[in-house]
Amino acid sequence: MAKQKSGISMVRDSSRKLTPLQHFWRDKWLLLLLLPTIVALILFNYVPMYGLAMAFQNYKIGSPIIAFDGSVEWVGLKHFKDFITSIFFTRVFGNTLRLSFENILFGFWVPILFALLLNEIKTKWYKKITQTFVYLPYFVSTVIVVSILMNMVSSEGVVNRLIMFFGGKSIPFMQKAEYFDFLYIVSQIWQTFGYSSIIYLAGIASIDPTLYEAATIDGGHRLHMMWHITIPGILPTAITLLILAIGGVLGSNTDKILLMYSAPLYSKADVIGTYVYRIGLVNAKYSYTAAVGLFSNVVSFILVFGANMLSRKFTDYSLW
Amino acid sequence: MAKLLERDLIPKQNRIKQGSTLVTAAIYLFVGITALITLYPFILIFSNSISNPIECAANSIWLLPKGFSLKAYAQILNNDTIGRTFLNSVFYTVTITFLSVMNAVFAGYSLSVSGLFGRKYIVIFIMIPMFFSAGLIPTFITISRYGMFNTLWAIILPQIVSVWNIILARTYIHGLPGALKEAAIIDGASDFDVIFRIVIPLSKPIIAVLSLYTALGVWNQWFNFLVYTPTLDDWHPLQMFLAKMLIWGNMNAVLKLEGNVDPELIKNKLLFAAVNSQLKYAVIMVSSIPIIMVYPFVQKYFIQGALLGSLKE
Repeated sequence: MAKQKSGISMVRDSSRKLTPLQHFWRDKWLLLLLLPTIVALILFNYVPMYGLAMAFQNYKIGSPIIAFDGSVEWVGLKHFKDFITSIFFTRVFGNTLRLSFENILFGFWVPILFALLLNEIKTKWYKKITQTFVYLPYFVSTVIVVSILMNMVSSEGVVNRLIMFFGGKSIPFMQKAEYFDFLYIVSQIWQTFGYSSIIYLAGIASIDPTLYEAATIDGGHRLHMMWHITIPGILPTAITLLILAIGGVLGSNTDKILLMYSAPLYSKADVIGTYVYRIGLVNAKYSYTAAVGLFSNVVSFILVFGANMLSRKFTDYSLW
Repeated sequence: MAKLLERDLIPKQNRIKQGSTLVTAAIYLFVGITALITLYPFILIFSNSISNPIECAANSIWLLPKGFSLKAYAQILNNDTIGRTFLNSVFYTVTITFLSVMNAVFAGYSLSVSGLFGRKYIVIFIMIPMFFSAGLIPTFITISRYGMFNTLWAIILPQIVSVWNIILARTYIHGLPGALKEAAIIDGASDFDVIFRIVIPLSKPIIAVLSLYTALGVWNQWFNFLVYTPTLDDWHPLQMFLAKMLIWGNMNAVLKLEGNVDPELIKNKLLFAAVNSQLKYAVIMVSSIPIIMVYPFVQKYFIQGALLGSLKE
C-alpha cells in the first residue's frame, strides 16, 4: 500500500500526461474513499429523483417506476392540474408563505437588536451567562419545544392562569386556528434568536476597533457609534441573511407544525410539507403528493438559486 | 488588552460621552431580563418536576418548586420503556455521528487533493442533492422498494452521507498547510498514512464541530422514525417516545405503568394520579439532561459551528 504515491499535488501536476485510465488508476485509493458517498447519494438521492416519474402516473405499490408495457398508467400533468385547481393549492402555499414572511418580519431583526445590545455589555461574566441562557433553546428538540409550549398555553398552563388571575377567560390556544401563527412565530423566535445573534456578534467583533477609537476622540457617543459604525459594519451580513431567508420561504418547519397542529388548525397551519405527509403517507395518495412535492421543490429551487445569485452579486457571500 | 489600555488613555471628558450610566444600566437590565424570560420555560419545567406531586397536579407552580419530591424521577428510572428508548437514542447518535463524520473526513480529504481524477464532476454530483431533493414521497417509495421500510437501515444508511459535512471538512482540510502532506509523501507515506497521521490529528477542531452538530441533530430527530419505522416501537428513540407521550397524549399506553408501580403509590390513589401528572415534566428533564450537561463544555464548538455556516469557498 505504501509504495504507490498518489495523493500528492507534485505528482498530480503531471496529470496532463496521463491517459484517463492511468489517471483513474493512480487515484484509485482516493476514489475509493469517495465510493460510500457516491453510492449513498445514488441510492438515497438520485434513485428517488428517478422515482419522481410517479408524479406523472397513477403509481401503485409494487408496480415498476417506469415501464411502457401497460403496467404503468401514465396520466401526464393531471396531478399537477388537480393540485393547482384545488382549494389546497392556495391554502398550503398561502400558509407556507404567510408563516415564512411573518417569521422574517417579526423574527429577523430580533437577533440583530440583541447582538447590538449584548455588544454594549462589557462585564465578561454577565455577558457569558446571558449568552449561555439565550443559546440554550436552540439545542432542545422540536418535540420538547412543542410540548413545553402546549403545556404553557394549556387550560391549566401558566398563560391561562395568568389570564384568569387578571379576570380574563381561559383561551383554548391549541384548538383555535387564529392563535396558531402567534404561537408558531413566538416559539420560533424564542428558539432561534439567541443562536442567530452569534453571527452578528462575530460581525461586530470583526469591525476595526480604531473606528470606534476615532469616533470616541471626535466626541461621538454610543448611539452615534452604533448607527454610523456598528450597523453599517453588520449590514452586509444582515442583507445576505435576509436574501437567503427570502430564498427559503417555501421551506417551513414541517416537523414542528406536524407536532403542533390538529384538524381544527389545518386551515391556518397546513403547509406544503405537512400536506404532503398527511395526504401522501397517511392517505397513501403517492402520485398526487409526489406531484405536489415536485412542484414545490422546483419553485423552491428557483427561489433559492435566484437568492444565491442575488446574494453573490450584491454581497460577496453565497451558499456555495 | 492593548486596546483597552489605549481607551483608558483617552481623556475622561470624551469617555463620558460614550454613554450615560443610566442607559448602560437599562441595557444590562434589558439583556438580563431577556435572558431570564428565555430561560423561564425550562425553570418552570424543572420546578414542576421536583415539586411535591400534589402541588404540581394542582398547577400552583409559577417559578420556584413547592415542596420536594423525586417520585416522578423514580417512576421514570423504574420504567423499562423509557430506559430502552433512551439507549436507542444513544445508539443512533453514536453510530450515525461516527459513520457520518468519518465519511466526511475521508471524502473531504479526497476532494481536497488537487488534480483528483474527475474532481469537478464529482463535486457537481455531490452538490446537486443540496439544491434539489426528490421530496418525501419518492424517497419514501424508493426506500420501501429496497425493503428497508420498518427497519433500522432506513434510518441509518441515508444519514451516513452528509453533503454539508463533506463540504465543511473539505474546506478545512484544503486549508491545512500543504507542506506537511508533501513532506510525508516524499517520505513514502500513502494516502491512508496522510489521513490518519496528518489530516485527522490536524483536523480535530472541525471533527469536534461536525460531530457535535451531527450528534445534536440525530439526538433530536423523530420525523424520519415516524415515516420510515412507524411501528418498530422497540427501536424508537427518546424523541419519538416523547412525541407519543407528551403530544399525542397516550401516556399510560406508552408507559405501561401498571407493571412497575411503587407499592406506596397503589395505596394512595390521589398521590398516584398526582405523580402521573408530574411524569411529563420529569420526562422532559431526563431527555434534556444529556444536552444541558454537555452544553456548557461544548458551547465554544457550537459557536464555531454557527460561524462555519458562513464559511465561503
